[in-house]
Amino acid sequence: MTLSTVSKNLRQDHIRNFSIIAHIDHGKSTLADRLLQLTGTISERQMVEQVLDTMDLEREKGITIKARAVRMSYTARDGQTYEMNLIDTPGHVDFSYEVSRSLAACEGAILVVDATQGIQAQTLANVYLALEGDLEIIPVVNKIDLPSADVEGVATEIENVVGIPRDEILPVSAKLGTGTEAVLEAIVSRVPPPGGHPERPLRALIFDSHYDPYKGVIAYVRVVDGEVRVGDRLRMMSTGRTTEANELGFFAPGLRSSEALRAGEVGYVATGFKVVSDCRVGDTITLERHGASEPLPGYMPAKPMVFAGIFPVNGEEYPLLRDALDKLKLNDAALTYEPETSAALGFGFRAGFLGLLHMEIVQERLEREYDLDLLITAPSVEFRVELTDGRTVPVHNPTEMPEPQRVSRILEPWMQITIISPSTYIGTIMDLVTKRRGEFSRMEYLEESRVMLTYEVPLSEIVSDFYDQLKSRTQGYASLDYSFAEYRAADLVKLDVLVNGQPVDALSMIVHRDEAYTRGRMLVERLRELIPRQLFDIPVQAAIGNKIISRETIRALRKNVLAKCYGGDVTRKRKLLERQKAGKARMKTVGNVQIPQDAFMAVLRLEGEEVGQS
Amino acid sequence: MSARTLTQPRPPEAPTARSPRAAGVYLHIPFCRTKCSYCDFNCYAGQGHLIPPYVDALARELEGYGGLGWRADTLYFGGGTPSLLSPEQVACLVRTACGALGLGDAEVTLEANPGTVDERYFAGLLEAGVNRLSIGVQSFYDSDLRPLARHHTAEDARDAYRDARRAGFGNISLDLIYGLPGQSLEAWRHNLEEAVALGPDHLSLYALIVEEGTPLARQVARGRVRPADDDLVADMYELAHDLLRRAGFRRYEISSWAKPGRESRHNLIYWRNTDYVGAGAGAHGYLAGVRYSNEWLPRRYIEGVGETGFSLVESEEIGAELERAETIILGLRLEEGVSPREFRDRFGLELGEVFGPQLARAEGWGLVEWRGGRIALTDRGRLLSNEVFESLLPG
Repeated sequence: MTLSTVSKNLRQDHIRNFSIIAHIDHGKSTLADRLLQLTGTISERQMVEQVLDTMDLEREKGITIKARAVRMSYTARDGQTYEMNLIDTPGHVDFSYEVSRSLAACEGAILVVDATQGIQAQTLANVYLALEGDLEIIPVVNKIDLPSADVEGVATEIENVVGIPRDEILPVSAKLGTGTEAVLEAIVSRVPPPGGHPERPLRALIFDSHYDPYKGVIAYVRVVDGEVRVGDRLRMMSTGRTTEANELGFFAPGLRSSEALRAGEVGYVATGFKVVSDCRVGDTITLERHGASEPLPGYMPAKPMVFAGIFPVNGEEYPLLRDALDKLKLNDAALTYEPETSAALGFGFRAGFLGLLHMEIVQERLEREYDLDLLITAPSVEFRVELTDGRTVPVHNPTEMPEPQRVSRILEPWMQITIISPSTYIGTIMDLVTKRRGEFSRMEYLEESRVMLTYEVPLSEIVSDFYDQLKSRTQGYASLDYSFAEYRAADLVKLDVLVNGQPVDALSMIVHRDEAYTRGRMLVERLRELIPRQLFDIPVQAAIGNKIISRETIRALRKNVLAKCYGGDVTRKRKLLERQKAGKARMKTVGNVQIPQDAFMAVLRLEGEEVGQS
Repeated sequence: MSARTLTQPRPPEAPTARSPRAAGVYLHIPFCRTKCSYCDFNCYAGQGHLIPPYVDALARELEGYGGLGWRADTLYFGGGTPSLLSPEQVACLVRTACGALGLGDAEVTLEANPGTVDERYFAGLLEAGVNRLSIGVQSFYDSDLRPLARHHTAEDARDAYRDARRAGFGNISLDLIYGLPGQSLEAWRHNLEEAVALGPDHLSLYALIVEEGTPLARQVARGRVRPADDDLVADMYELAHDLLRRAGFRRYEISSWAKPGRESRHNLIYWRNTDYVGAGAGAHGYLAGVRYSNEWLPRRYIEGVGETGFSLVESEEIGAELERAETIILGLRLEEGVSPREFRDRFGLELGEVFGPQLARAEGWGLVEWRGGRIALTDRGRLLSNEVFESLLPG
């Protein structure tokens, strides 16, 4: 063993890589802020609340969308100084693959559970991911300062569910700073130093990336084997793309450049790539020459699960929308899109997303950052249609459904879902899942009054408003996690909507034959409320093929405003008319009927009334 | 958009070749005893002590318009509650208008609120030169008046009308509101019959509009008051027209009915989109293609006039395109509609050249029609007039 190897190993012994697993609002960001303060990584002066969530959208939603990392230096009670890398993980089920890659970059994870709430379904799913990856779990019960804190109950739950002895669970108030130093000590003593071989060829795991207009794509990496130096020629093992390490370094928490990253270290590499899809999360970076032969395990290309049409309200904004999507794509490898033309909505794109939150984020970013006025159609899933000629075609859009006579059968994606809830809500959850064609798998008690329910449910039933319904039925107590299970055959039909006799393609949906009638009736009723009365009677119909299954009529408008208008009213009245005119311009005209944007989302909220009545 | 709003206040326009010297003159009296629940006008309760200096400022402002070369065709005291002015104060303003603006034997209207007036007061007004009254009755049901926070009763309204007649007023208009929360078609019929029985010369009927920021809007938002159903309001309008027609009234504008020859000359100036002076706090004027408004707060208005003779806070140049749109929109409010010949004379363009497609579409929907060589709203179009107006705006 050479001297340099010894010093490298010594260095490696003093590295701790960990992430924090927590449910939204359970205090992950606050705890991270405390750790940064305790280790002097950032001064009080620099402290912006919740340093790690840097996107506006993340702050507002209280969730992490992109992973982040930060290096801290901590001198422990044993007198030694440790390099601690905190890798922050996305906190939503849509991004579970990204979570798994972040966890794969760590040897330990802090599990933060709110002392007033208990473990939530997504948290548990992430804990299982961490346990599968052999991570050391350090459970923390947070918010012990709150009067409603049930530290004992939550500790029992952790003990039962995760199997960690109660005396290893740390009570903390991240808000007040109570017990936070013990967390740092636990990381030093319990989380093992990174394995990996400094002498082997470079293998670095990409756990996130972002696009920088000056430096190109910046890969966030954990070096597993070997080392990477500035100027090294690099190869992405799954895409085969090669480049040079223009700059590299670590997070302090801003980018701090250095000469090299070695086995065990966490840092960044500026790749000069122009799009993040060249540098995918989960891929392995190695050297172009004398590189590793095997990539690190676990890479999967991002796979969209939910699809929706995105249309500019104003058709002239189509090129702007295309540019905006191109720019978002630079930073979002999971986003897919292709041009779509709708008879009702004109030119737009069919976009694929990881899930509903991902879709919502993309929509909000397009509207906010690119100032676009958009119309998003109700989300759909990827159906697989087996044709009579033996071929199988994917269908992402109800309008693409082949003619019934060409179809031998239709398959749809099913998900395994896990719900954790107080046991009092079992009945209403069962009812909801049954209404959504779900099948019960099993039920486990986590502790006396909390259960974990597992079902299989078609994804198309989840993408409407399943989560909202679950929250409303359980007063917000239930949490949900889901993952893809399998494709199954189903008796599905395409439900069309006709407004004033004209089919509105953007309102078509694929539904189970048994539910077609009910869905059609609810949709037509909802549209009657959402489409304003116009100068003529408007029939609104739901149809399967040529058969009308439901009909309502929007009666012609008789009167708008009968206002007086004297000298002082002229300007005001004109402005009012201008506003009304602008409002109508925002509606889509189908045939000669003006349809407001809400109507296109109506298909989503069909179940709303059901709960209102119960 | 062809309108340009200027934030820098400037003096009002002088007459031009296109805007000869005649104009309607509106005087705003922004004082009220109390504020009505649906009112979003510029008026203030509890500032009665400002009335004397306010009248002085108004007189000075009128002299200023005279100095610019304007002449008064009509004079109109609106509010607020103009009947809070004493006959002497009214007389002073009428005299000023005669002296400075050459107001001769013209229509001089004053809005009077029941409960603030009696026969002696009306006699004083007549003496002062007022020759037309507009009485704000609103409803002949006390139960309608209370929620509107109108501080008078139906009996006060009848008394005011009789007192005005006894004092010698020969031209009286009544205001009524319909579409009140909870008002039935029958109650509205009763209101109309009561009004007709009094024998007025003119009637203005307004559908209640819940204006943002009023106490009524807050009550509606809280669910305490339910606004009237649109279809019922349409029925009320049709009932009113039918009943008044049979009683010898002629509708000459969407909301205005008159005995022959008793149309409001002053209001016709607005609908024909010609020049008018707006004097007083928060008043709006339109002179030589510029629409403007005065300082809203009475105290600030008085100060402004004291310093410069005027108190404009906002002016907007109405470009040719917008003027054409406003002219046809306001003109369509009139029963007589819009004449293509007058349009051509005014703008040097054919009506069809500018608004052909919009009018053809409206005609297709049965909202406008040609009557005696003029384009005018149909019965259906009157109820749906905003649909037509909207399409005529530029942009």
